[in-house]
Amino acid sequence: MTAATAPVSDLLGDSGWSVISVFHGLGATAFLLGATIAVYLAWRLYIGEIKAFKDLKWLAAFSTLMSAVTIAFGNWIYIGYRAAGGPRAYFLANMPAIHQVFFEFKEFIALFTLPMMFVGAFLLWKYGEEIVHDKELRAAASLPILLGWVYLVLAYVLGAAITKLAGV
Amino acid sequence: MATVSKVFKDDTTVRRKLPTGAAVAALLAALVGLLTLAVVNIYSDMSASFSKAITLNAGIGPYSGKEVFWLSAWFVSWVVLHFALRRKDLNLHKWFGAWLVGMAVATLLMYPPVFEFIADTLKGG
Repeated sequence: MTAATAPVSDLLGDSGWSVISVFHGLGATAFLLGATIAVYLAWRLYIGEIKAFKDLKWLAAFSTLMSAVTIAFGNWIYIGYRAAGGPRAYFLANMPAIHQVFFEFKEFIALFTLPMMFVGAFLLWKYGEEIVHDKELRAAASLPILLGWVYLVLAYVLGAAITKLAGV
Repeated sequence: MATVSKVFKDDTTVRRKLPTGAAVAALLAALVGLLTLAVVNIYSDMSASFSKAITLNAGIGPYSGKEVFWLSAWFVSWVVLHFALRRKDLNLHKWFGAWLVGMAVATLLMYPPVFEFIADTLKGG
C-alpha cells in the first residue's frame, strides 16, 4: 500500500534530471535485454544452427534503435552530470579517478554500441536468410553484435556504479 | 513466425556466392568512425583551442563536437565505401581479421590512461 500511494518522486528522486535519468536507465535496460537475446541468436547464426533468423533480424534492429535512444538520453543527462555542483564536480573533488578513468571510458565506449549493432543489423537485413549459407558473412554479421553487447555491458555496469556513487 | 529450420552447417546445396563488398564497406566505415573519434579525442586532450572549437553545445562541452566528427566520418565513409565496393567480392576472412585488430586498437585508444599518455607524449609533456 505504501509503495502504491507514495509520491512518484520517492521512486525517481527529486532532482530536475530525474525523468531524463529514468529514460536513460530504462532505455539502457531495454537495450540490454534485447541485445542479450540477440547475442544468443547471433551465436546460433555464427555456428550455423539458427532457427529464428527473423527474430535475430528484428532484435538487431531493436538493439540499434535502443542504442541510439539511450545515447541521445545519455547526452541529455550528461548536461546535468557536468553542471556546476553536479556529479563531475563531486568526483573531481573527492574521487578524481571515477571521473577521469571510469566515467570517461564509459562515455566513449557507450558510443561503440551503435555502430556495432547497426552493422550487424545492416548485414542481416541486406543479405537476408541467404547469409546462413555463408560462413564468413555469418561471422561478419554476428560478431559485431557480440562486440556491441560487450561494450554495452561495460557501459551499463560502469554507469550503474557511478550513479550509485553520485547521481544527477 | 517463419523460421529457418534446417541445420545449415551440414547443408551441401550449391549456392550463389554472395558479394562481400557491402559487408566490408559497412565494417570498415564503422571502424573509420570510431578511429576518427579516438583521434579527435586525443587531439582535443592536446589542444585547449581545438577542444573549445569543437564545443558545439556548452552543456556537454567538447563531447558534442567529438560526436559530430564520429558520426560524420562514419556515415560519409560508409557512403563512399559502399558505392566503391558493393559489387566486389573481397576476401572477407582477411578484411574481417583486419577489422577486429582495428576495433581492438580503437577500444584501447578510448581508455583514458592510454589516450592521455599519447596526448602527453605528443605534446612533449
